[in-house]
Amino acid sequence: MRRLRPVAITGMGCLCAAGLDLQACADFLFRGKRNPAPPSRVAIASSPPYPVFEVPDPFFDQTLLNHACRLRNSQLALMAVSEAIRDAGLDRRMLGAERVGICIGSSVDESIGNRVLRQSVAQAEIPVITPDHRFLLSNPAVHIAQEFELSGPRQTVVNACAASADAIGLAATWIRQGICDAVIAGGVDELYQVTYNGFISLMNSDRTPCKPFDADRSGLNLGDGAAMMILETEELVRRRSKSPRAYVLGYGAASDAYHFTTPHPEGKGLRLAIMEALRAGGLNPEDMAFVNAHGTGTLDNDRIEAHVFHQLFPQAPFFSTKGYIGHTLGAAGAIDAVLTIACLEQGKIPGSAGFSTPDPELPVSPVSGVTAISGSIAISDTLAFGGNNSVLVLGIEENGA
Amino acid sequence: MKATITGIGVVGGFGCGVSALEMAAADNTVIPQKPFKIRTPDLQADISGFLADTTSLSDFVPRKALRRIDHFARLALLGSYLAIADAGLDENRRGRMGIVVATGYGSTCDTFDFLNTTLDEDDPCSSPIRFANSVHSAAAAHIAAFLGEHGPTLSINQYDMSVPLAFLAACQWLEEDRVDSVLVGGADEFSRAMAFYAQHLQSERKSGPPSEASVTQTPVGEGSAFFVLEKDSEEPCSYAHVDSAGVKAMNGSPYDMPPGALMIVNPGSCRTASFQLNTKCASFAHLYGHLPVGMAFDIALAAVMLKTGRRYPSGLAIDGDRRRETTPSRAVQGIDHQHIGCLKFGLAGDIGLVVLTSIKK
Repeated sequence: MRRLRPVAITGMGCLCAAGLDLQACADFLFRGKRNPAPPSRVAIASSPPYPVFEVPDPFFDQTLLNHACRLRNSQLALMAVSEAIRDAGLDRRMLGAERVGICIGSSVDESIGNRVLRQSVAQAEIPVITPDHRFLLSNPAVHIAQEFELSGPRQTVVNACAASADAIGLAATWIRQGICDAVIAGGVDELYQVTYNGFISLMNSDRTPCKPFDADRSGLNLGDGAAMMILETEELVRRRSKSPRAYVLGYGAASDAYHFTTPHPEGKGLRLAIMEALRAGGLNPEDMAFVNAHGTGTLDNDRIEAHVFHQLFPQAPFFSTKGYIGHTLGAAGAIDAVLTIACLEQGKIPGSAGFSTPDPELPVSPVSGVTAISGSIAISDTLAFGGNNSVLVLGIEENGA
Repeated sequence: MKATITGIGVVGGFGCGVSALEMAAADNTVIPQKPFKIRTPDLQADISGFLADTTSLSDFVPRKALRRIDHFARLALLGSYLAIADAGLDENRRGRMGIVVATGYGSTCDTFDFLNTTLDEDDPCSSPIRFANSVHSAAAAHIAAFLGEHGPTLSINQYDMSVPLAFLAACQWLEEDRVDSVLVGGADEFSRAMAFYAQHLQSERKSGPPSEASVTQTPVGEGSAFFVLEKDSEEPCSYAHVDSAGVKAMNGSPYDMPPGALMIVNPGSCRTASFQLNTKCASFAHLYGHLPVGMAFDIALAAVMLKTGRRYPSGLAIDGDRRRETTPSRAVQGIDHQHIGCLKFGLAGDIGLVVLTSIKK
């Protein structure tokens, strides 16, 4: 892996259980509160229900859009994209004049479309919806392209919980290799019955508000949301006289090649992904101001991360956002990425919600309260089903350290 | 830097392996099977499809190790093993290998089974194995685990554009020195849901105008096609270079193709009459069926034709419209092309193109 050019981030948007725009989300984290609740949009067979972190209603503003959109997943994506475009100082006319691609990470979009198709099949009817229509109805990248009349490549990455970190990493490659002038990159996932029941079936869900890295942690809480970034070429940034808000300095991905639902016991894939991301940015572990951990609250995930952080980043403070917003699956990497940048901009990180009792088996613990940081670069990691590990190195200065 | 295809692994209704695909292409026919019977008050139909047999996966993996691996992932695994074997790529030579898996449907059998239990029966104790296998990245994860590969894995699900996007990502990884080689390919499986879809296509065919119906003439298919890509390989066993790969909006403008290039067209489900192709065309979907990742089989055939210098007879007329069907003979011919483009028309109004060039020998 050789050193690669930084890629400018000129705009960001985010909505999740913590708020309906990025500023509101960041402010919420620093207040140290959280609002888990029973799911309102999925049928609950379990009693008592497992708490989740849903985006509060009403979040969708149809007046911002030209095309009607009824699917919640795409509504979430479009709201985050709209904020990111505004933040970047772009408009529809400017977007239409450039080669703008879309690279979205999601874990449920196709599955949501399957609901309707399955109902027809289960009733032994000729489906009123075909796989073709299912795709057109449920794909957020297609909806974004149609809404903003974009002509570049559109891609949906389905690397489970690492999907949107990978989407951002791939989008940066599209910029560096001249495929696009700008890319809308990020992730989205709505809360969905299949994943809600699926994590229960895996016995990975916590019946109480999740406690990442805590000695008493017992699983994750799901959430939903979306986060998007606008990545631009140096040439377009210069032409628009736009100051980038941040940079993708490095991206790395590696596989555990171990087990489908259990991370490698020594975190081999995570370590490889971190080192690749650092090499891509020409950076060292000690350059990191902090680590935004995946920190789901499951026993294995947090144990692996803590050991890898202890080895690679013994001095860097770290925290998890999952205690505030739940695990947003395919959107998690992108939401954590924009929150990482927001923390760099503010020079502080929030306490890791749900953490109170250090686990004696973990060599390091997250910060428990708001903590000042120094430096302009941070790392955000994601671990996914199937042993996918994806890491983004993000900075608010082009030259990093 | 050019990526080079050094190995191909295919499995589909035509059989298993490159030689089976070559044989089917030379014979110009594959007989579809009738896997599903649909019986409803209004309809009785036998739905035919091109089914793939994965039993030869046990040549590579102990059967016991496959107990929890579903059919979709087995298709992808078998394609992967065949491609690596074809490339002669042992663990010492493949270095850091990336894995890119494209799929249009994902694991439909497990997804629908899980949906049935979780939505109809409202069962919070649904099968964790079915849930895990229903995740679209399952195939890539199983490939990485079985091969022991720690490189990056990527699963792309952009329906009929998944394959060109997968090739784009694979070439970019090589370009950025992120990996030394990439195992890239596509997989889709047949299922009960797909049988209903096939019935939908058949009824559309009967009722639609000829020009619209002809794009869906082929039965639904399943299978996988995988490729080993390496940097700048001029090995005699290599198939072809990947000259370019990408996706763009369909705006009526012709794609830039080298003069005299052959274009293998995969019309998929969309109407293509408005798109003008100013080059020679062929289509091979009749060999592997109608599936979102069908373009991967076209790429396999293109690579084989560039390596062997043999051009196989084209199948159905493309779109049934005025477009030229330019293969005058139904027999295998010598090839006079240095470049072959594989073109896919996307449902959402985009076009995917992968261009291969012959290796100078």
